[in-house]
Amino acid sequence: MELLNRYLQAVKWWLPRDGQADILRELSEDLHSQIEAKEAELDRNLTDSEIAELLKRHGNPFLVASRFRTDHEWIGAPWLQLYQFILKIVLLWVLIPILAIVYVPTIAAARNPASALLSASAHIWLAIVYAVGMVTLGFGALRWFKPDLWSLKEWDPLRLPPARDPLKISRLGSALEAFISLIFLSWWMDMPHVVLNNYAVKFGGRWQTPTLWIYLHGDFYWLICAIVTGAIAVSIVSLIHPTWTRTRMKVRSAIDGITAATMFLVLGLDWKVVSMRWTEFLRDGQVIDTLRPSQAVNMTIGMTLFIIGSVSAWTCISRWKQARNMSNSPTSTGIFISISS
Amino acid sequence: MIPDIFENLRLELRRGCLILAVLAALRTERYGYTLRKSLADQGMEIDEGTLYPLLRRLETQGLLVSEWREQDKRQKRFYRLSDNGNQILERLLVEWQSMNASLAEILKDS
Repeated sequence: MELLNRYLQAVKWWLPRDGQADILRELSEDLHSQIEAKEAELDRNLTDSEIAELLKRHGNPFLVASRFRTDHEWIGAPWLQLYQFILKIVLLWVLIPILAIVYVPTIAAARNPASALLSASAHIWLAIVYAVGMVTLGFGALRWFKPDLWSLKEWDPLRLPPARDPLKISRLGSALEAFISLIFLSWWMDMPHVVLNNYAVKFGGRWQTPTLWIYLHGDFYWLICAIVTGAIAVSIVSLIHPTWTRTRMKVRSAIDGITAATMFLVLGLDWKVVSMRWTEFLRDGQVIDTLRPSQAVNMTIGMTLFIIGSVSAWTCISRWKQARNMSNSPTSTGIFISISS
Repeated sequence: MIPDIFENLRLELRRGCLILAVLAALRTERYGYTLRKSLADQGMEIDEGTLYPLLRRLETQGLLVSEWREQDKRQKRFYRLSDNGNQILERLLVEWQSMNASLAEILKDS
Protein backbone atom coordinates (compact mmCIF):
# COMPACT_ATOMS: atom_id res chain seq x y z
CA MET A 1 0.00 0.00 0.00
CA GLU A 2 3.05 2.25 0.20
CA LEU A 3 2.79 2.75 -3.55
CA LEU A 4 -0.82 3.85 -3.14
CA ASN A 5 0.25 6.44 -0.54
CA ARG A 6 2.86 7.77 -2.95
CA TYR A 7 0.26 7.99 -5.72
CA LEU A 8 -2.26 9.81 -3.51
CA GLN A 9 0.43 12.19 -2.32
CA ALA A 10 1.22 13.05 -5.95
CA VAL A 11 -2.48 13.62 -6.72
CA LYS A 12 -2.83 15.76 -3.60
CA TRP A 13 -0.14 18.19 -4.77
CA TRP A 14 -2.17 19.05 -7.88
CA LEU A 15 -5.61 19.17 -6.25
CA PRO A 16 -7.42 22.40 -5.39
CA ARG A 17 -7.24 23.17 -1.66
CA ASP A 18 -10.99 23.31 -1.41
CA GLY A 19 -12.28 19.80 -0.69
CA GLN A 20 -8.78 18.29 -1.07
CA ALA A 21 -9.05 15.89 1.90
CA ASP A 22 -12.51 14.77 0.82
CA ILE A 23 -11.42 14.05 -2.76
CA LEU A 24 -8.38 12.10 -1.54
CA ARG A 25 -10.44 9.98 0.85
CA GLU A 26 -12.80 9.08 -1.94
CA LEU A 27 -10.03 8.30 -4.44
CA SER A 28 -8.27 6.25 -1.79
CA GLU A 29 -11.46 4.33 -1.05
CA ASP A 30 -12.05 3.62 -4.74
CA LEU A 31 -8.49 2.39 -5.29
CA HIS A 32 -8.70 0.18 -2.19
CA SER A 33 -11.96 -1.31 -3.48
CA GLN A 34 -10.35 -2.00 -6.87
CA ILE A 35 -7.34 -3.64 -5.24
CA GLU A 36 -9.55 -5.74 -2.95
CA ALA A 37 -11.74 -6.86 -5.87
CA LYS A 38 -8.66 -7.87 -7.86
CA GLU A 39 -7.16 -9.70 -4.87
CA ALA A 40 -10.44 -11.55 -4.30
CA GLU A 41 -10.44 -12.54 -7.96
CA LEU A 42 -6.83 -13.80 -7.87
CA ASP A 43 -7.09 -15.15 -4.30
CA ARG A 44 -3.76 -13.56 -3.36
CA ASN A 45 -2.23 -10.16 -2.57
CA LEU A 46 -1.32 -7.93 -5.51
CA THR A 47 2.34 -7.37 -6.23
CA ASP A 48 3.82 -3.89 -6.48
CA SER A 49 3.99 -4.10 -10.25
CA GLU A 50 0.31 -5.13 -10.42
CA ILE A 51 -0.65 -2.17 -8.19
CA ALA A 52 1.52 0.06 -10.39
CA GLU A 53 -0.37 -1.21 -13.45
CA LEU A 54 -3.69 -0.41 -11.77
CA LEU A 55 -2.49 3.09 -10.85
CA LYS A 56 -1.24 3.69 -14.37
CA ARG A 57 -4.68 2.79 -15.69
CA HIS A 58 -6.19 5.16 -13.12
CA GLY A 59 -4.21 7.98 -14.69
CA ASN A 60 -1.35 10.41 -14.25
CA PRO A 61 -1.76 12.24 -10.90
CA PHE A 62 -1.58 15.59 -12.70
CA LEU A 63 -4.43 14.68 -15.07
CA VAL A 64 -6.54 12.97 -12.37
CA ALA A 65 -6.34 16.08 -10.16
CA SER A 66 -6.99 18.46 -13.04
CA ARG A 67 -10.43 16.90 -13.60
CA PHE A 68 -11.51 18.23 -10.21
CA ARG A 69 -10.82 21.79 -11.29
CA THR A 70 -13.21 24.06 -13.08
CA ASP A 71 -11.87 25.33 -16.38
CA HIS A 72 -10.25 28.75 -16.50
CA GLU A 73 -10.71 30.92 -19.57
CA TRP A 74 -7.02 31.79 -20.03
CA ILE A 75 -5.09 29.03 -18.35
CA GLY A 76 -7.17 25.86 -18.61
CA ALA A 77 -7.98 23.47 -15.79
CA PRO A 78 -4.92 21.16 -16.04
CA TRP A 79 -2.39 23.97 -15.67
CA LEU A 80 -4.19 26.12 -13.11
CA GLN A 81 -2.48 24.65 -10.05
CA LEU A 82 1.00 24.97 -11.60
CA TYR A 83 0.18 28.51 -12.77
CA GLN A 84 -0.86 29.57 -9.26
CA PHE A 85 2.22 27.88 -7.77
CA ILE A 86 4.66 29.61 -10.16
CA LEU A 87 2.88 32.94 -9.73
CA LYS A 88 3.19 32.62 -5.94
CA ILE A 89 6.92 31.82 -6.21
CA VAL A 90 7.56 34.70 -8.63
CA LEU A 91 5.64 37.24 -6.55
CA LEU A 92 6.37 36.18 -2.98
CA TRP A 93 9.85 34.72 -3.22
CA VAL A 94 11.40 36.62 -6.13
CA LEU A 95 9.71 39.91 -6.91
CA ILE A 96 8.81 41.14 -3.40
CA PRO A 97 12.28 40.42 -1.91
CA ILE A 98 13.99 42.12 -4.91
CA LEU A 99 11.69 45.14 -4.65
CA ALA A 100 12.23 45.27 -0.88
CA ILE A 101 16.02 45.21 -1.31
CA VAL A 102 15.92 47.84 -4.06
CA TYR A 103 13.30 50.26 -2.74
CA VAL A 104 13.12 49.96 1.07
CA PRO A 105 16.60 51.48 1.72
CA THR A 106 15.87 54.31 -0.77
CA ILE A 107 12.51 55.06 0.84
CA ALA A 108 13.91 54.81 4.38
CA ALA A 109 16.83 57.13 3.57
CA ALA A 110 14.69 59.72 1.76
CA ARG A 111 13.97 63.09 3.38
CA ASN A 112 10.30 62.59 2.63
CA PRO A 113 9.57 58.83 2.76
CA ALA A 114 5.91 59.28 1.74
CA SER A 115 6.79 61.02 -1.52
CA ALA A 116 9.62 58.52 -2.18
CA LEU A 117 7.12 55.67 -1.68
CA LEU A 118 4.69 57.35 -4.07
CA SER A 119 7.28 57.73 -6.81
CA ALA A 120 8.56 54.15 -6.26
CA SER A 121 5.02 52.70 -6.33
CA ALA A 122 4.70 53.34 -10.10
CA HIS A 123 7.86 51.24 -10.74
CA ILE A 124 6.74 48.56 -8.28
CA TRP A 125 3.31 48.34 -9.90
CA LEU A 126 4.86 48.06 -13.37
CA ALA A 127 7.22 45.29 -12.21
CA ILE A 128 4.27 43.32 -10.76
CA VAL A 129 2.23 43.76 -13.97
CA TYR A 130 5.21 42.58 -16.08
CA ALA A 131 5.84 39.53 -13.86
CA VAL A 132 2.17 38.45 -13.74
CA GLY A 133 1.81 39.18 -17.46
CA MET A 134 4.82 37.09 -18.48
CA VAL A 135 3.75 34.08 -16.40
CA THR A 136 0.14 34.35 -17.64
CA LEU A 137 1.28 34.64 -21.27
CA GLY A 138 3.45 31.53 -20.89
CA PHE A 139 0.56 29.47 -19.55
CA GLY A 140 -1.84 31.01 -22.07
CA ALA A 141 0.50 29.74 -24.82
CA LEU A 142 0.33 26.24 -23.30
CA ARG A 143 -3.47 26.33 -23.51
CA TRP A 144 -3.41 27.73 -27.03
CA PHE A 145 -0.82 25.38 -28.57
CA LYS A 146 -1.83 22.28 -26.53
CA PRO A 147 1.60 20.58 -26.73
CA ASP A 148 1.52 16.80 -26.73
CA LEU A 149 3.07 16.05 -23.37
CA TRP A 150 4.11 12.44 -23.82
CA SER A 151 5.54 12.37 -20.29
CA LEU A 152 2.02 12.66 -18.88
CA LYS A 153 1.12 9.36 -20.52
CA GLU A 154 4.51 7.67 -20.21
CA TRP A 155 4.80 7.95 -16.44
CA ASP A 156 5.80 5.19 -14.06
CA PRO A 157 4.01 4.86 -10.69
CA LEU A 158 7.05 3.00 -9.30
CA ARG A 159 9.13 6.16 -9.77
CA LEU A 160 6.83 8.43 -7.75
CA PRO A 161 8.58 10.24 -4.87
CA PRO A 162 8.43 8.53 -1.45
CA ALA A 163 5.35 9.25 0.63
CA ARG A 164 5.69 11.80 3.37
CA ASP A 165 3.80 11.36 6.62
CA PRO A 166 2.28 14.78 7.45
CA LEU A 167 2.37 13.96 11.17
CA LYS A 168 6.01 12.91 11.20
CA ILE A 169 8.50 15.44 12.58
CA SER A 170 12.05 15.54 11.24
CA ARG A 171 14.48 14.57 14.02
CA LEU A 172 17.20 16.65 12.37
CA GLY A 173 14.87 19.67 12.35
CA SER A 174 14.02 19.20 16.04
CA ALA A 175 17.69 18.82 16.96
CA LEU A 176 18.63 21.94 15.00
CA GLU A 177 15.77 23.90 16.54
CA ALA A 178 16.72 22.84 20.07
CA PHE A 179 20.39 23.67 19.42
CA ILE A 180 19.71 27.14 17.95
CA SER A 181 17.18 27.94 20.71
CA LEU A 182 19.73 26.90 23.37
CA ILE A 183 22.40 29.16 21.86
CA PHE A 184 19.91 32.02 21.70
CA LEU A 185 18.80 31.43 25.29
CA SER A 186 22.35 31.41 26.64
CA TRP A 187 23.09 34.60 24.65
CA TRP A 188 19.87 36.21 25.89
CA MET A 189 20.57 35.34 29.54
CA ASP A 190 24.10 36.71 29.23
CA MET A 191 22.97 39.81 27.36
CA PRO A 192 24.18 42.61 29.72
CA HIS A 193 27.76 41.52 29.16
CA VAL A 194 27.60 41.53 25.39
CA VAL A 195 25.56 44.67 24.74
CA LEU A 196 26.52 46.89 21.86
CA ASN A 197 27.88 49.87 23.75
CA ASN A 198 27.67 52.24 20.81
CA TYR A 199 23.90 52.31 20.70
CA ALA A 200 21.22 54.02 22.74
CA VAL A 201 17.45 53.89 22.84
CA LYS A 202 14.78 56.55 22.99
CA PHE A 203 12.01 55.50 25.29
CA GLY A 204 9.41 57.66 27.00
CA GLY A 205 10.80 60.77 25.30
CA ARG A 206 14.35 60.53 26.65
CA TRP A 207 17.48 58.79 25.54
CA GLN A 208 18.60 55.90 27.58
CA THR A 209 21.98 54.34 27.39
CA PRO A 210 23.55 52.10 26.53
CA THR A 211 21.20 50.11 24.26
CA LEU A 212 17.80 49.11 23.08
CA TRP A 213 18.76 45.65 24.22
CA ILE A 214 18.96 46.77 27.85
CA TYR A 215 15.41 48.02 27.61
CA LEU A 216 14.25 44.86 25.86
CA HIS A 217 16.12 42.79 28.37
CA GLY A 218 14.54 44.59 31.29
CA ASP A 219 10.92 44.44 30.14
CA PHE A 220 10.83 41.23 28.13
CA TYR A 221 13.46 39.13 29.89
CA TRP A 222 11.19 36.53 31.49
CA LEU A 223 8.69 36.45 28.64
CA ILE A 224 11.38 35.69 26.04
CA CYS A 225 13.04 33.19 28.40
CA ALA A 226 9.67 31.42 28.76
CA ILE A 227 9.02 31.39 24.98
CA VAL A 228 12.45 29.97 24.14
CA THR A 229 12.34 27.43 27.00
CA GLY A 230 8.90 26.30 25.76
CA ALA A 231 10.25 25.92 22.21
CA ILE A 232 13.24 23.92 23.50
CA ALA A 233 10.94 21.65 25.52
CA VAL A 234 8.72 20.95 22.48
CA SER A 235 11.81 20.30 20.31
CA ILE A 236 13.22 17.81 22.85
CA VAL A 237 9.87 15.99 23.13
CA SER A 238 9.70 15.92 19.30
CA LEU A 239 13.21 14.54 19.18
CA ILE A 240 12.16 11.63 21.40
CA HIS A 241 8.67 11.12 19.90
CA PRO A 242 8.88 12.46 16.33
CA THR A 243 5.14 12.47 15.61
CA TRP A 244 2.74 15.37 16.01
CA THR A 245 0.02 14.92 18.62
CA ARG A 246 -2.94 17.25 19.04
CA THR A 247 -1.65 18.58 22.40
CA ARG A 248 1.87 19.19 21.13
CA MET A 249 0.51 20.92 18.02
CA LYS A 250 -1.62 23.21 20.24
CA VAL A 251 1.32 23.98 22.57
CA ARG A 252 3.50 24.79 19.55
CA SER A 253 0.78 26.99 18.09
CA ALA A 254 0.46 28.85 21.43
CA ILE A 255 4.25 29.43 21.58
CA ASP A 256 4.16 30.79 18.01
CA GLY A 257 1.21 33.04 18.90
CA ILE A 258 2.97 34.49 21.96
CA THR A 259 6.15 35.00 19.89
CA ALA A 260 4.17 36.89 17.21
CA ALA A 261 2.39 39.03 19.81
CA THR A 262 5.72 39.88 21.52
CA MET A 263 7.41 40.84 18.25
CA PHE A 264 4.53 43.13 17.21
CA LEU A 265 4.37 44.59 20.74
CA VAL A 266 8.07 45.52 20.56
CA LEU A 267 7.59 46.89 17.00
CA GLY A 268 4.72 49.09 18.16
CA LEU A 269 6.76 50.70 20.99
CA ASP A 270 8.50 54.05 20.61
CA TRP A 271 12.08 52.92 20.22
CA LYS A 272 14.94 54.13 18.15
CA VAL A 273 18.50 52.91 18.04
CA VAL A 274 20.89 55.82 17.70
CA SER A 275 24.57 56.07 17.10
CA MET A 276 26.13 57.74 20.13
CA ARG A 277 29.43 58.56 18.51
CA TRP A 278 28.24 60.71 15.64
CA THR A 279 30.70 63.57 15.39
CA GLU A 280 29.51 66.90 13.96
CA PHE A 281 31.82 69.70 12.83
CA LEU A 282 30.02 73.01 13.31
CA ARG A 283 30.72 76.17 11.24
CA ASP A 284 32.39 77.93 14.14
CA GLY A 285 34.93 75.14 14.26
CA GLN A 286 33.34 73.47 17.25
CA VAL A 287 33.28 69.66 17.26
CA ILE A 288 30.49 67.89 19.12
CA ASP A 289 29.33 64.31 19.62
CA THR A 290 25.61 63.87 19.04
CA LEU A 291 23.07 61.11 19.01
CA ARG A 292 21.67 60.32 15.56
CA PRO A 293 19.15 57.65 14.59
CA SER A 294 20.98 54.86 12.87
CA GLN A 295 18.73 54.24 9.85
CA ALA A 296 20.32 50.98 8.78
CA VAL A 297 20.26 49.46 12.28
CA ASN A 298 16.69 50.63 12.93
CA MET A 299 15.50 49.28 9.63
CA THR A 300 17.25 45.94 10.05
CA ILE A 301 15.87 45.44 13.57
CA GLY A 302 12.41 46.58 12.50
CA MET A 303 12.35 44.26 9.48
CA THR A 304 13.69 41.33 11.52
CA LEU A 305 11.01 41.80 14.19
CA PHE A 306 8.34 42.13 11.50
CA ILE A 307 9.49 38.98 9.64
CA ILE A 308 9.73 36.90 12.85
CA GLY A 309 6.31 38.21 13.97
CA SER A 310 4.65 37.51 10.60
CA VAL A 311 6.13 34.02 10.24
CA SER A 312 5.18 33.16 13.84
CA ALA A 313 1.61 34.45 13.33
CA TRP A 314 1.29 32.39 10.16
CA THR A 315 2.62 29.18 11.74
CA CYS A 316 0.45 29.81 14.82
CA ILE A 317 -2.72 29.93 12.68
CA SER A 318 -1.78 27.01 10.43
CA ARG A 319 -0.77 24.80 13.38
CA TRP A 320 -3.95 25.69 15.25
CA LYS A 321 -6.00 24.73 12.18
CA GLN A 322 -4.10 21.44 11.93
CA ALA A 323 -4.68 20.74 15.63
CA ARG A 324 -8.39 21.51 15.24
CA ASN A 325 -8.67 19.16 12.24
CA MET A 326 -6.92 16.46 14.25
CA SER A 327 -9.50 16.77 17.02
CA ASN A 328 -12.59 17.16 14.83
CA SER A 329 -11.86 14.53 12.25
CA PRO A 330 -8.92 12.22 12.68
CA THR A 331 -9.22 11.28 9.02
CA SER A 332 -8.72 14.72 7.54
CA THR A 333 -5.17 15.52 8.54
CA GLY A 334 -3.47 13.68 5.74
CA ILE A 335 -3.61 10.95 3.23
CA PHE A 336 -2.02 8.40 5.52
CA ILE A 337 -4.80 8.55 8.04
CA SER A 338 -7.48 8.65 5.39
CA ILE A 339 -6.10 5.51 3.79
CA SER A 340 -6.00 3.56 7.00
CA SER A 341 -9.52 4.58 8.02
CA MET B 1 -7.96 13.37 -38.38
CA ILE B 2 -11.15 11.32 -38.95
CA PRO B 3 -10.60 9.17 -35.82
CA ASP B 4 -10.09 12.40 -33.82
CA ILE B 5 -13.35 13.85 -35.05
CA PHE B 6 -15.17 10.60 -34.33
CA GLU B 7 -13.68 10.42 -30.83
CA ASN B 8 -14.69 14.00 -30.05
CA LEU B 9 -18.24 13.46 -31.28
CA ARG B 10 -18.49 10.16 -29.40
CA LEU B 11 -17.36 11.84 -26.18
CA GLU B 12 -19.86 14.64 -26.69
CA LEU B 13 -22.64 12.11 -27.24
CA ARG B 14 -21.62 10.13 -24.16
CA ARG B 15 -21.36 13.14 -21.85
CA GLY B 16 -25.09 13.85 -21.66
CA CYS B 17 -25.96 10.15 -21.49
CA LEU B 18 -23.55 9.61 -18.59
CA ILE B 19 -25.26 12.25 -16.47
CA LEU B 20 -28.61 10.62 -17.11
CA ALA B 21 -27.23 7.17 -16.34
CA VAL B 22 -25.56 8.31 -13.10
CA LEU B 23 -28.69 10.10 -11.90
CA ALA B 24 -30.87 7.11 -12.73
CA ALA B 25 -28.48 4.65 -11.05
CA LEU B 26 -28.46 6.75 -7.91
CA ARG B 27 -32.16 6.32 -7.28
CA THR B 28 -30.66 3.53 -5.19
CA GLU B 29 -27.99 4.63 -2.71
CA ARG B 30 -24.48 3.60 -3.76
CA TYR B 31 -20.87 4.51 -3.19
CA GLY B 32 -18.49 5.39 -6.03
CA TYR B 33 -16.97 1.98 -6.67
CA THR B 34 -20.27 0.07 -6.67
CA LEU B 35 -21.88 2.75 -8.83
CA ARG B 36 -19.12 2.39 -11.40
CA LYS B 37 -19.42 -1.40 -11.31
CA SER B 38 -23.17 -1.29 -11.67
CA LEU B 39 -22.93 1.06 -14.67
CA ALA B 40 -20.20 -1.08 -16.24
CA ASP B 41 -22.29 -4.25 -15.74
CA GLN B 42 -25.03 -2.57 -17.75
CA GLY B 43 -22.67 -1.61 -20.56
CA MET B 44 -21.97 1.97 -19.49
CA GLU B 45 -18.23 2.02 -18.74
CA ILE B 46 -17.05 5.11 -16.92
CA ASP B 47 -13.56 5.72 -15.57
CA GLU B 48 -12.89 7.04 -12.07
CA GLY B 49 -11.38 10.24 -13.42
CA THR B 50 -14.72 11.10 -15.00
CA LEU B 51 -17.09 9.69 -12.39
CA TYR B 52 -15.85 11.38 -9.21
CA PRO B 53 -15.62 14.93 -10.60
CA LEU B 54 -19.11 14.38 -12.10
CA LEU B 55 -20.51 13.21 -8.74
CA ARG B 56 -19.04 16.28 -7.02
CA ARG B 57 -20.50 18.58 -9.66
CA LEU B 58 -23.97 16.99 -9.41
CA GLU B 59 -23.81 17.27 -5.62
CA THR B 60 -22.80 20.94 -5.82
CA GLN B 61 -25.80 21.49 -8.11
CA GLY B 62 -28.03 19.95 -5.43
CA LEU B 63 -29.04 16.93 -7.50
CA LEU B 64 -27.28 14.43 -5.23
CA VAL B 65 -26.75 14.13 -1.50
CA SER B 66 -23.91 12.19 0.07
CA GLU B 67 -22.70 10.99 3.43
CA TRP B 68 -19.63 9.16 4.74
CA ARG B 69 -20.53 5.87 6.41
CA GLU B 70 -18.61 2.85 7.53
CA GLN B 71 -19.05 -0.37 5.61
CA ASP B 72 -16.80 -3.43 5.71
CA LYS B 73 -14.57 -1.63 8.24
CA ARG B 74 -13.89 1.23 5.80
CA GLN B 75 -15.37 4.69 5.45
CA LYS B 76 -17.25 5.06 2.18
CA ARG B 77 -19.10 7.98 0.68
CA PHE B 78 -22.64 7.00 -0.23
CA TYR B 79 -24.54 9.01 -2.84
CA ARG B 80 -28.24 9.14 -3.59
CA LEU B 81 -30.58 11.30 -5.60
CA SER B 82 -31.95 14.35 -3.77
CA ASP B 83 -35.60 15.41 -4.04
CA ASN B 84 -34.54 18.09 -6.48
CA GLY B 85 -32.46 15.53 -8.39
CA ASN B 86 -35.46 13.22 -8.59
CA GLN B 87 -37.61 15.94 -10.19
CA ILE B 88 -34.85 16.87 -12.65
CA LEU B 89 -34.32 13.21 -13.55
CA GLU B 90 -38.02 12.73 -14.32
CA ARG B 91 -37.97 15.75 -16.62
CA LEU B 92 -34.72 14.67 -18.28
CA LEU B 93 -36.12 11.17 -18.90
CA VAL B 94 -39.20 12.63 -20.64
CA GLU B 95 -36.86 14.75 -22.76
CA TRP B 96 -34.64 11.75 -23.50
CA GLN B 97 -37.58 9.57 -24.54
CA SER B 98 -38.91 12.29 -26.80
CA MET B 99 -35.50 12.78 -28.43
CA ASN B 100 -35.03 9.05 -28.75
CA ALA B 101 -38.40 8.68 -30.48
CA SER B 102 -37.63 11.57 -32.84
CA LEU B 103 -34.22 10.13 -33.67
CA ALA B 104 -35.75 6.72 -34.32
CA GLU B 105 -38.20 8.33 -36.75
CA ILE B 106 -35.42 10.26 -38.52
CA LEU B 107 -33.27 7.15 -38.84
CA LYS B 108 -36.23 5.09 -40.10
CA ASP B 109 -37.03 7.69 -42.81
CA SER B 110 -33.45 7.85 -44.04
